[in-house]
This record gives sequence, structure tokens and C-alpha cells, in this order.
Amino acid sequence: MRWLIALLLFTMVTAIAHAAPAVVTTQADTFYEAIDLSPLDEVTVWQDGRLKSFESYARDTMNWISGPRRPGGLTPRVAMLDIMLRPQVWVDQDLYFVKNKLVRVEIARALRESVSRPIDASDEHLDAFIESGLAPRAFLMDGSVQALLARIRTDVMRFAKPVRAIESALMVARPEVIRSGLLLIAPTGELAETKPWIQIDDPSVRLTHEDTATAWSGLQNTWLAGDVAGVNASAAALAAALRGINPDVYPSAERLRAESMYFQWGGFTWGWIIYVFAIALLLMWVVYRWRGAYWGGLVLFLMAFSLHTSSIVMRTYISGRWPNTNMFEAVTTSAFYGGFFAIIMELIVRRTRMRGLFFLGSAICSMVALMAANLDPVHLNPAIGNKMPVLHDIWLHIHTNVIIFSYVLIFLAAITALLFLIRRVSQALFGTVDIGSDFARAGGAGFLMAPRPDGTTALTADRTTFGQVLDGATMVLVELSFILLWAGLVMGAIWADHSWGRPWGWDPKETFALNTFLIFVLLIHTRMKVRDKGLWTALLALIGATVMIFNWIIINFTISGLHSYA
Amino acid sequence: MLQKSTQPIRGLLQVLLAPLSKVWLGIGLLSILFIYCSIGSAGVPTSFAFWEPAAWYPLREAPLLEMTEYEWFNWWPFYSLIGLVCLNMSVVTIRFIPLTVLTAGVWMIHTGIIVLSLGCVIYFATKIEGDVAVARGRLVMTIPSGESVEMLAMPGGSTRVGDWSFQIRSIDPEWSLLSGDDVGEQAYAVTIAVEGPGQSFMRQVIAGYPQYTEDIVPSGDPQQPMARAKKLFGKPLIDDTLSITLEPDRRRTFYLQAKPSIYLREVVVGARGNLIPKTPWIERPIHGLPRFNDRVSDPTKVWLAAGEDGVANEIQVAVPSVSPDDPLVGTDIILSDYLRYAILKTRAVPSPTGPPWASVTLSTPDGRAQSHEVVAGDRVNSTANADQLAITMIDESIDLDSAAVPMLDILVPEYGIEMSEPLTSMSDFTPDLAMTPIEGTPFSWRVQRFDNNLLIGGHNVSMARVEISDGETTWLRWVFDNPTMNTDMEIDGVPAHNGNPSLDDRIVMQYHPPMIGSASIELIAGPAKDQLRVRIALPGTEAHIEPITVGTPLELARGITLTINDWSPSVQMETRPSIVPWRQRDRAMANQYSMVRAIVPGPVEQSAWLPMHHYPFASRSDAVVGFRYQPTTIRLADGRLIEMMRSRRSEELPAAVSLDGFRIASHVGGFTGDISSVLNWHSLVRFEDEDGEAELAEVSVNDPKPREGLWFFQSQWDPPDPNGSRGGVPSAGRNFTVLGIGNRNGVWTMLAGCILSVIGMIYAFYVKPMIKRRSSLAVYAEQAKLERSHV
Repeated sequence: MRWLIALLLFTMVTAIAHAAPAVVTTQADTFYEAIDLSPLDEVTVWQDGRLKSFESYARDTMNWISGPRRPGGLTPRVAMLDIMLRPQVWVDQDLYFVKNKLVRVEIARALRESVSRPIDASDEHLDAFIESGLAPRAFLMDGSVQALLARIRTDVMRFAKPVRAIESALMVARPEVIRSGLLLIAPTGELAETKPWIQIDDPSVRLTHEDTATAWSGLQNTWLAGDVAGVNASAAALAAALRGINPDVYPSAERLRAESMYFQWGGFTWGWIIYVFAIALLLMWVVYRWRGAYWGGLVLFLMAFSLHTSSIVMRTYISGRWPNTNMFEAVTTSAFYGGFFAIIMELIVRRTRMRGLFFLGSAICSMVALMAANLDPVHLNPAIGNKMPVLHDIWLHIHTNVIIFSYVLIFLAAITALLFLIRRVSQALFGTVDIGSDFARAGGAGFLMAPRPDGTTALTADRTTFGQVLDGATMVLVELSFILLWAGLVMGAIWADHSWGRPWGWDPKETFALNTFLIFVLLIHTRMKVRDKGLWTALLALIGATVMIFNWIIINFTISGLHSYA
Repeated sequence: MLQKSTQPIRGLLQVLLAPLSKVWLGIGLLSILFIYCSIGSAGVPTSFAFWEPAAWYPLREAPLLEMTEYEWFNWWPFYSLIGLVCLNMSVVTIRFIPLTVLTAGVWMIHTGIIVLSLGCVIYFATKIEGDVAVARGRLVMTIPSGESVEMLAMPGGSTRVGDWSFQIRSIDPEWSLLSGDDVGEQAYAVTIAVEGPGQSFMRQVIAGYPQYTEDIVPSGDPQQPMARAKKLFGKPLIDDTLSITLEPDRRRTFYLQAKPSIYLREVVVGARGNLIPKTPWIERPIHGLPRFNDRVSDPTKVWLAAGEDGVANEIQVAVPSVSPDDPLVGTDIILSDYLRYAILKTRAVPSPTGPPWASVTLSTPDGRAQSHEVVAGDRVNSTANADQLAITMIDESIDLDSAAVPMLDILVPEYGIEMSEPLTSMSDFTPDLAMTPIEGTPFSWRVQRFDNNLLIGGHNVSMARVEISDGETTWLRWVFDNPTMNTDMEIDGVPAHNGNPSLDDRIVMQYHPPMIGSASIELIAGPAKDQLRVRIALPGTEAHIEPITVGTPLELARGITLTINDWSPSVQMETRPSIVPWRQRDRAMANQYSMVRAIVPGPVEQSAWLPMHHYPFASRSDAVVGFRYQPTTIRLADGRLIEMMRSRRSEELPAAVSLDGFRIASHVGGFTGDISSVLNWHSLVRFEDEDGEAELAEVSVNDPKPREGLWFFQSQWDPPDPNGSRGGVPSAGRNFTVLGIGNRNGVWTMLAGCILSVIGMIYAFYVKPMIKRRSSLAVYAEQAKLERSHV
């Protein structure tokens, strides 16, 4: 039976893992496969006050054009350079990403009804567009589509943003726009740090940095000629020349390579896939107490957590700051805190019946977080940028980290609460429920500590039910998150007081953080008064997590406020 | 934790305290508090698509509530809830939780929450919050007669005093000093174009360096048309009697958030037709004005959005005078309408008299479409280029063939000649066009070119350039459809008589533009009442006339079609506020596009729509770029002119505040003008007491500065505007800063409560179990000892 379930789970997660990456791939040309642009990993591009790696810049550019898709199956830097150098090749290609599905449907409808329907706007092509979101330029520039976009953009609340995104994609994909962003030449002279970087096509480059200009021309000419060896040699020469212009202001090659690698290796992607396997095994351990599943799950969890940690550490190294300044970073770092906390808790409860529960909760939390970061780059943009001015404060590190730590604990509590409820439902359906004893009598930390006359604790006693264990785990998490959330709110108020001139402004995000806290206040007091303490604790822990997620997603993306950047 | 009360409570006190002694009451109150906070903040979902912004209805903005978030959470129900929670908590704690080592945590938490609540009551009940815009400098111009005038240093700013006019030509916030001991230093520099009696030059003034003020004058050298006066004349100023200085912009008031006011002042008409204030603005606070919902007294006075019912639901908000200096003291201004999001628009309204009007759509074969409105003889309200698309009304007397030809009336009084000639050729296009003699006179003429429907000075004019010869000399005459505008010039176009218009009155002319055919596509209304035709005269095609009906596309050429959406043979153009449909509103604009209709009662009732102003600037030259300055003027029955402006309530500052400097700290690569390159904004602020004591303070993001109970923090800045989208003039920005200002009474009480509650939580959750564990272990050990002794 165990093996059968294990096999089923393995098959399921494998299928998920294979289905996950949303990448449109086609057969790449030999030229694209043969060229080696790895020397450009050590090249930096100045953008928005940051010196980012060429890879990072290309990803940002292609993200504007093609969103999360990979047109032609090409890497972002190859695609970007090819669009810039050979725009004619891309004229008919499905290059431009339309995120909003309703807008896709309307565009397809407009094209179907257009008297000037483009030749390649067949029904099959339009269906594929609705599915993938990728369209050729002709679709979006068609008069009927332009008229449609002009009309719907007046619906500011629903369509202004998607229409702007389409216009941006069309503009960013113009070769001259891509070229204008290639600020590759480091400034020289005194106070070079504060001088603007220079576009590589600037006429002055040929006069002042001839070797760079020659390498850049060589790269373009060999690219156009399809000369693989020439491209490879020019890329290497260009990287060397650019780095040599002003080594004092140029970022280190290690940092740039790390940034390129960070975006190429997909540590977060592999992380969530391995977390899926860890969840399958840890779930079997929790349900069936199968020791092999525990050890297997533990190994997989630690593997995934290592990848997760490596990605966090790399991001910290690349950006020069702890990653907690935007939604992507908050989500992934929060999940990292969950993993870290789980390891500590598992060390504490390693000889008790709580063993494995925190690993399981953390694995689920991290899987959800990393999966969201991986599959929804539009909302969780992985690009590394500078912090907003208001975030340059010590309280960013204190308030934000405490809050996101409390959030991950709330999520973990919701998982143990959910397990409790599933168990309760199955008990109600197939057995009996003893509501008078199906909870941890001493709360959370007290449950861990309370001794018995025989020298055991509740957690090690044979008579302790699984319901008590789950309820105890929920309470351990609730108590800690309760304090951290409250402390985080207070710290946020202190920061707001000296940043915005008021500690509390009833901003939606503030209010819903308070609302989350109120749910846990209700949980603690309701638990005192009701007979079925376990059930109410679980229900309110779930509601608390729902309010927290509502705050993080709906309030952030739907209901604007002062915290909309976080 | 809870124990039975050992305190017998009797009588009335028992009755009162009994319900407050229930934990369930607290749970209920907290649940209501949760709901209250949720609907006050996010609103209520109106559809299952709760991820769509449109799905959330902000309940506190409902017509009967009309509350900001701040007001919602400062409303009596909220205070009542908090009060009840505190009361319930206090009673339960005192009655059922005796203070012991084990319960100290709960006591601390509950005490902390009560202290926090008290702090919040103090904080929110006394909260003042607002802002003020402070410019980098204020230019003070003193002309030789001693008169002076001021204006803020803002891109495009201009002003006049006496015979002198001043216009800011450029502002450089990072001007590098070129000479002197401070060479290389960067400073805020303003260059002003000065026009005075017989002189025209530019003067540059530099903030903090009055000694470097200098003039830049025309050099006569085409290679370098302007040169420093010092270089040309050996002195920096060509006119020492004209003084221009850059003084601090001292602000003594700030403006409160969400507190509306009307400002009034009496004005008189100046010598140049401009309005001159007799008094400063006098403030009238407004109470009870809606914020979020449109209130319309008469739907026919506004342009309703599609789908709106147009039901009248007027308000009657009286705004009494509060100052004896009020120009309308004793007269309440009545606010009868409020529009949350509206812009003034001019539209055609059918009328028994007036020009014809049509709404048309031009469509291309690939689906592109352009819609236009055209009004005969009205270029301001016609959205199409008058040369390309126009509308004309004709009557039975008009012959369509001849009506398409412009005419020139010629009158030679001395010879009794009076003639009207069709203009069919122009020498600009037919250079060898011969002069046409006027029989019996020495005069002859030919037309260089004619232009119709030119928009000059807001008027629609048509004109012909006519060469006239009297047999001896040849000159050029600009002949207009309004002959009072006619002007003679030298043949090469140089104005005669030093630019003053003059006319050789031996020959009189008037130009008559063609009655039809001035545009490539011309709609011809009439002569029958509902008759509409279109004259198509596209390049390369023969002009022809086709009938056209509403809604039926007419092909003009190569698939391009013209559709008449609507038309009327006579309309009047009316300007009213147009309500922007809800979905088209930019929520970030808040109430910046709101309008109220103010009625001034009197023998002749006057009313006007008042747009929202962020600040009640004293004049256009006092206005900060990017902020509206659009006072509304009404004339009272007694002939007085009153200016009104709707803005926010003002509050005195403890000290005058001015801006000594503004600095941007940037990321690597320097400040590019884009916000992403900004690391921080630093406003170097000067506080000046009434006794002249000054104190400098640097305000930046995350680093506010206190001053007599108020905190000043960095709120907004003036970003570069290379396209001049805000003020019509390109700007390098950094001309002003906006300082947020607020008090923070009760903050320390709040903090004390928070810290106490956090300590209490840690104690209750972690210290208490340890104490209990220790005591349990001690009991077990004692028990084991006893058992062993029994054995």
C-alpha cells in the first residue's frame, strides 16, 4: 500500500514538474545554438541607476517584449541581440506578449472581424495566440486592433495597464530603442561614479575607445553574416574592451557572472520542484509514520532548502542588500525564513511526535512561494533593481523581516490547522471525535514544556493523540507569529512615524495587517471559551492565514495604498 | 486562567458590569472591529471577481457617509468599539484574573493595549496633517521708478511692472559658477528676459551669489548673438537702476489634508485689462461638502456620462463668512453641486439660431477611425483641421458653383469704381500672373495668395495678399474679410511706417472667402432644413458634391469613408462640466478633478463652477509649476468683481519656512532625471521666527525635522520635465519642494503601550510555561519524595 501511494505521488509530482515551465520553445537554428555569448556574462549595462549584468538587462528587455515566454526558444540575450540586429527576421514571429486573457480574446475577435485581416491571422493562429499570449507585430498594429485598444484603454481601471504593456512591448522591440538602452561604456575621469554611462553606439566611442567600437562592430557584422566563430571572438573582445575602459567603476567579473548565473540556473525553479517531492514523502511520514519516507523527505527538503538558500545568498551578493524590497523578494525570503525556522523547530522536537510536521509545513509554503515566483513573473518580477528612496532605512531590515517572518509562521500554522481539519473531517466521517481532549491543553510553548509525573512531556507520551500534536504545533506557530506580527506592526509604525510623519495612517495594508492580528486575538480568546478548542483554533488559524494572504495579494495588487511597492 | 470572582458586586454596578464581564462580549466586539476595519479599508466586494479593482466598493464613500479612511477610523462607532473593548478587557481582567506571577503577562498585554488606545485617542483627536510647497526662490524686480514686483522662480514665469516686462527664460538648478573664488561650485541660477523702455536683455541671478548677477545682451555678432555685458561694456549690469534679486520664498502657512475651503477676494480691472486683487485671499472653511459622490442640482447644467440617470440630487452647503475682511461678509455662499471627477467641455446644443454642427467619423480600410466635430466658422470648437474638414450652411440664394470661389471687393472712390472680382489664380503658384488693370484708373492688382479660416488671436479670419500698383509704385496689401484689419506693406513684406498699420486710402479692398470649398471635405447644410451634402475636393480629383445621411458611410477615396454620426443645422456651443465615467477615472488623482458649483445670493444671483486647487496661490506669478491656478471671477449686481478659488484650509506655521537648497543623492551613474536613479531627496530648510532668528535643517526621506510640535518631512519634489508637460515650458526640475507637516501628540503613550504589550506577550507565552514547568517539576519531585518515604 505504501509503495503504491508513493508511486502515485511520484507520478503526480513528476507530471506537475514537467508541466510547470511555461516556455514556448521551437527548434533553434544552428547559428543560435553554436554561438557562445558567455563572455558577455562579465559585461555590465547601466540601467535605472544600477549596473546590472548583460544577461539581467537582456532578461528585463525581453520581459517587456515577450513576458515570461521565450520566443523561438532562444535565450533572452540571443533573442534581444537578434531582434536588434535582424529585425526583419522577427517581423512575422510571435514575439509580443499580451498578458490579459480578456484582451487577447478581444484582439482575436477584432482580427477575425477585420476587413483587413492579416494574412497569417488564421483561426488556428488566433487560437494559439489566445492560449500563449504571443502575437506577431502585424496582429497588434492592425487598424481594428489599434481602434480596439484605443477604445478599451479609456476603461482605466481594467484595461489601461494591459494596453500600456502592449504599447511598451511594441516600442521596446524596436532596434533603436534596444540600442539606446545599451549604456555599456563606463565613464572616466574624476567622480566617474556620478557620471552617466555612455551608449555603445555613441559616435564618441569610436574616437575614445576604438578597440571597443571595433569589437562591437565586429559582433554586429559577424552576427549579420552568421559567422559563429566571428561572433564568439567579437563577444570575447568586446567584454575585455569594455571591462578595460575604467576598471575602477566596473563591477567585479565575479559579481556579474554570479548575476548572470543567478538568472540562468533557476535555483528557485528547481527548488520548488524538489520541494514537491519532499512534500509527498513528508506527508507519508506524517500520515503513516513511515520512517523511510521521513528520511527521504528530510533529504529532499534539505536539498531544496539548500537551493533556496543559495538563491537567496546569491541575490544578496548580487544586489548588495538583503532581498526584501519587492514582492518577489518578500515572498521568496519569507519562505526561506519558514525553512530556517522549520529546521530549528525540528531540532527541538526531533524526539517527539511533532517530528516532520514543521518540515512538511515549510516545504508546502516554500513550494507555493517559489512556484508563484517562477510561474507568475509578471506579478512577482525577479528583476533586481534599486531600492526606492523611502526604503533606505534600518527599519526596512527590522520591520519588513519581522513582518514577513510572522507571515510565514501564519502560513505554517494554517497548514497544521488544515491537517487538523482534514483529520477531524475524516474522524467525523469514519470514526468518533472526542472534542473534549482533541487539543493541546497547555497551548503552544507550554505544550512543548509541560512535564508529566512520569518524566515525559505531552509530546512524547503514548496517549497523546495526533489531534493534540497538530493543535500543539498550530499553537506553537500562532503564539510566535502573534508576537512577531504585533511587534512588526509596532516597528512599522515607528518607521512610518519618521518616514511619513505619522505612525499610523489607516493605509489598507496597515489595516489588514492589524486585521490579521485581530483574527489571532480572536483565536486566543475563543480558544479559552469554547469546548472544541482544537477545531476553533484550526478554523481561526486558517482564517488568519486567508486574511494575511488577502493582504499580501489583493491589497497589494488591487487596492492601492502607500505600501503598494512592498 | 479565569477564576470565579471573589468580589461580590451588587446593585446597579452589578447590572452594569455583568455584561462587560463576559469574554464572549470581547470576542463579539473584536469580531465587529474586524468587520469595521475591513469594510472601511478595502470596502465590500460587489462581485466574485474580487481580484479586479472594480469589484470593491468602498462603503465609507457611500453617499450617506462620504468619509475618508481617516474619518472612518475617527468616527464615534469606532471609538465606541475601542472603548467597549477596553472596558470589557479591564472589567474581565480585574474581576477574573488576579494579578499573580503567572498572570502578569496577561495584565501587561491588556494594560499595554489600553495605554495604546489612550495614546491613539490623543493622537487622532489632535492630529493635524498638511503640506506646503516651497520654491527655491522668489524673484524681486525693482524698476528705476522704485516700483517693484515679485514672482516665483518657476519655468516660464512672467510678470510686468510699469513699462517693464520680465520673463524667466531658463532655470538651471546646477549652474556651475564660471568665475570668482567659487568657480566650479554649483548653484541655482535663473535667467530672466527683460524688456524695458528702449532696452532688451537678459539677466542671470544666482541663488546665494548676488555678487555674480550679470546681464547678457545682444552682441551684434551672428556667430555669438548674445554676450556677457561685462565683456562688451566692462561692467556686469547694463542698467544699475534695475534691480533683480532672488529672495527666499518664505511660507507662513500650510494647507490641511481633506479640509476644504473657499477663498475670496475683490479684484479690479487694471490698465492692461488684467485683474488686480484689492485684498489678499479671505478664507471660508467648508463643512459638509461631499467628497466621493456627484451631487447635481440640475442635470441640464452638466454633461452627464453615458448611462447616468440625470436625477437631480442637489446639496445645500452654506459657506458663511468668518472674517470681517471678507468681501461678501454676511452673505453665505451656497454650494449646490459637487462633481467628483469632471472637466469643463464645450459641446453643441440644438438651438433655433446658430451655426450648423456635425459629428463625423473618418475610417480607413484597415479599421482605423478618427472622430471629429465641426462647427461652421468656429475653429476653436471644431476638432478637425479647417482646411481638411468643415461645415457650411447655405440658403436658396447660394449658387454652389460660384460659392466655391473667393471674391475681392475693390473700391476706388476717386474714380467711382466699385467692383467685385472672383479670385481664381495666385501668383505664388502662377509666378507669371499678370497684374489686372482697373479700367479708368492708374491702379492694377494681382493676388499673391489667399488663406481662409486662419486662427489668429482666437478669431477666425481669412485674408488675401494683394499686390497693388498705382503706376509708379507697387506695394503689398493684406486684405482681410474684416477690412479694419487691412494693412499695407512694402512689396518685400516689410511693414510700412515702422510697423504701424497704414492704408493707402485711394483704393479700398475687402476679401470674401468662398462660401463653400475652403476645406477638402466640406459638409453643406441646407438650403432645405434637413438637407446635408458633402463637397469632396481631394487632391487629384474633380470637386464634386454628394448627398449624405446620418449613419450611412460615404466612400471618399480608396476605401476611406465618411460617416455622419449626428448633425444639426443650428447649434449653440455650451460649456459645462463633463462628468468623467467612473471606469475612466484615475484613482491616483483623488479629488484634483472635482468641481463645485457656488451660488452667490443677491439681487442678481451669480453662480460659477469652482475647480479644486491644491494650494490657493495669490497670483499666477506666485503659483508653483504643475499646480493649478484658475480663480473664478463673478460680477456682483453692485458691479464689484469677486474672485473665488476652492482649495484647502490653511494653518499657521510656527515659523516662516523657506528653501535654502535642494539636493538629490543619486545611485551610480548620477541623477538622470528618472526617479529610479534617486537615492534620496534633501531639502535644506530655513525656519525663521518673527524675531528674525533663523535655523537651518536638512529634511530628507526618513529624516523629518521637528519644529515647535510639528514635524516637517520630505513629501514631494519637482522632477525634470523635458517636454514641458506640466507648465508648457521644458524644465530641469528642482524648483520647489513639498514639505509634509504634521503633529504627533500621543506617540510616546502609544509606544509605551505597544512595548508593554509585547513584553506581556513574551511573558505569557514563554515565561509563564517555564514558571509552570518549574513549579510542576517541583511538585512532582516533592510527590516522588513523599512516595519514596512511604515506601
